[in-house]
Amino acid sequence: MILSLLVTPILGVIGVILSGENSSLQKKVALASSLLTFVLSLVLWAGFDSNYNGFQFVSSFPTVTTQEVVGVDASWESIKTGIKYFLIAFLVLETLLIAVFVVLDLLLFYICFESVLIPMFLIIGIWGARERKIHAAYQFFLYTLLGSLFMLLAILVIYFEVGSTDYQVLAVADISETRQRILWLGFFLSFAVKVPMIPFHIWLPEAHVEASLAGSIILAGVLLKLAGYGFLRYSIAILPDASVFFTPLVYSLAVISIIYSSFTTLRQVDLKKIIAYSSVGHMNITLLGLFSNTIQGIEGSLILMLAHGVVSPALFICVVILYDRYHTRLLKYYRGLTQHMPVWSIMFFLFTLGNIAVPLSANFVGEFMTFTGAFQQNPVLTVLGGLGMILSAAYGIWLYNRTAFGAQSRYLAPMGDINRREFMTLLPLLFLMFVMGLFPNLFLEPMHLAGRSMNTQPKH
Amino acid sequence: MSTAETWEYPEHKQFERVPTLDQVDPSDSKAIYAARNQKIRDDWVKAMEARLIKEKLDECYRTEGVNHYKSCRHLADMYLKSIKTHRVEGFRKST
Repeated sequence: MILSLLVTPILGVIGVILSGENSSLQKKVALASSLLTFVLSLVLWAGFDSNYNGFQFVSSFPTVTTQEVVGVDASWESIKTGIKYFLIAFLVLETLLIAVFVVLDLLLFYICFESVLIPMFLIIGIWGARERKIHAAYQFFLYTLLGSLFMLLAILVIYFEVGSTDYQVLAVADISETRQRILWLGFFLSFAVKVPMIPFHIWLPEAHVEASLAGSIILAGVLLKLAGYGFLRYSIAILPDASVFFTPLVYSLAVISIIYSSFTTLRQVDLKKIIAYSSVGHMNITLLGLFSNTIQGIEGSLILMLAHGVVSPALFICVVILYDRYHTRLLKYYRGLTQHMPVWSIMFFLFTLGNIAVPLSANFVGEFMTFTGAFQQNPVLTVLGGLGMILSAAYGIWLYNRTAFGAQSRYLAPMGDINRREFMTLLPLLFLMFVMGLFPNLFLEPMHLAGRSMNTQPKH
Repeated sequence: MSTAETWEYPEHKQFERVPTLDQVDPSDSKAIYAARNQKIRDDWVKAMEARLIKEKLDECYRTEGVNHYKSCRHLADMYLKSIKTHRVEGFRKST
C-alpha cells in the first residue's frame, strides 16, 4: 500500500512526459496524480489500527499529499515557462517527501532527506520570481547540506557501532550515553537548520520569498516538518538519554528563536517574509513540545505541525493572490482591501486567526497541548516561549489590519476578488483547519500509542 | 463497509502477558519490543481506568446533588489518587 503511495507520483511524472507539449494536459495529469496519491493516503489513514503500537503502514501523513495537490492547483496559472519540468520536479519532490516519512532505515532516511533538496533547489532557483532566487536556492541548499554532513557522520558511527541502520534494530540498540551525546549533536545540527532554529534560520525567509507559490507551499507545509519528524523519530527515539541531557539547550534555543523571530516579523515589510518568519516561531514551539518528555507535549507538537502545515501555505496563497494582481509584496502599498476583495479578506482573516492559534483552530489545540507538556518540563522557559503566542497575535492582527482595513490604497486599482480556482484552493485548507480544531481526536487517536513510546520515564 | 445497522463492537483483543522490561534478556530484541508494547498498553489501560473513575465521579455528583461531599468522597479520593499514579509514562528509563 505504501508502495502505491510512492509510485503514483512517479506514474504522474511518466504521464506528464507522455503528454507532449500540451501544457493544459500536463497540468491535469499532474493534478490527477497528486489527487490520487492524496486519496490513497486517506485510505491508509482509514486502515490504520490505533490499538496497535507498531509499524503498520507507519506514517500516513495525508498533509504531505494535500499540500502537493494544493501546490499543483495553486500554480495553475502562475507558472508560465517550463511547465512540464516544473510538474516533473514537483511530483518527484512528492515521492521523495513521502519516502522520507515512510522509510524505516536510517541511511535511506538520510538519502531521501538530502534528495528532497535537489528538486526544491530547482523549483526555487528556476521558477522563482526575481534575480535573488539563485542566491536563495544556493543558501537553502548549502545550509541544509552542511548541517546534514554531520548527520551522515553520526549515521556512519551508528552503523559501525550497531552493525545496522535498520530502525527497528536501532530502537533496541544500547548506545552508551557519552557516545549518544556526540551522535545527538550531529543529528541536531542537521535538524536545527531544517526547523529552522536561530542562528541557522536565514535560509528560510530567503527561500520562501524567492520561491514560487508551489515552492513556498511545500516548503512551509512539509519541508519544515522533516526536522520535527527527524527529531522525534531519530534523535529522541534512538538517542533518548542524550535528548534528555540536551533538552535545556533545545529549550533555550527554541525560546530565543520564538521571541527573536516574532519581533523580527514585526519589522518586516515584505508580506511573504512576515509569514516566513512566523513559521520560524511556530516550528520552534513544536520543539518545546517534542522535547517536553510528556505525552501532551509530543502529541501537541505533532498536531501543531499538521496545523501549521495547513495554515501557513494558506497564508502564502492569500499573499500570492495579491501578488498575482498587483505584482508587489510590500506591505505599504496594501490598504483597505476589504472594500474590493471581501472574500479574500474573510479567508485571510480566518487563516490569520488560525496562525494566531485562536480557539476552534487546529493551531490552538497544538499550541495548548504543547505548552501544557512544555510547562511540565521547564515552566520558566515555557512562559517565555508563551510570549510567542502573544507576539504572533501582535503581528497577525497588525498584518491583517494593515492590509484589509483602512481607506482604499491610492496605489492600487481594484482588480477583482479571488476567483473560483483560488477559492477552491483555499477551501480545503480552511476545512482541514477547522476539522482539526474541532475534532482533534480524529488525528490524536492514531498518535497515542506511538507517541508514548518516544518518552523517557522521569527519574523518581 | 459497516453502517449504523451492521456495526458491531470490535472484538476485545487479549494480549499475552510477556516478561517485563526488567525481566527480559537484553539481547532478545523481540522480547524487548513485546515488553515495551506491553508497558505502553498497560499505561494506557491505567489512564483509561482513571477516566472511568472520573465518569463515575461525575455521575455520582449529578445523582447525589447536595450530598456529593459525603456520598462521593470515596470516588473523589480514588480519582485524586489515580491522576497521580495512573499516568502514561513510557518504557524508557532515564539513566
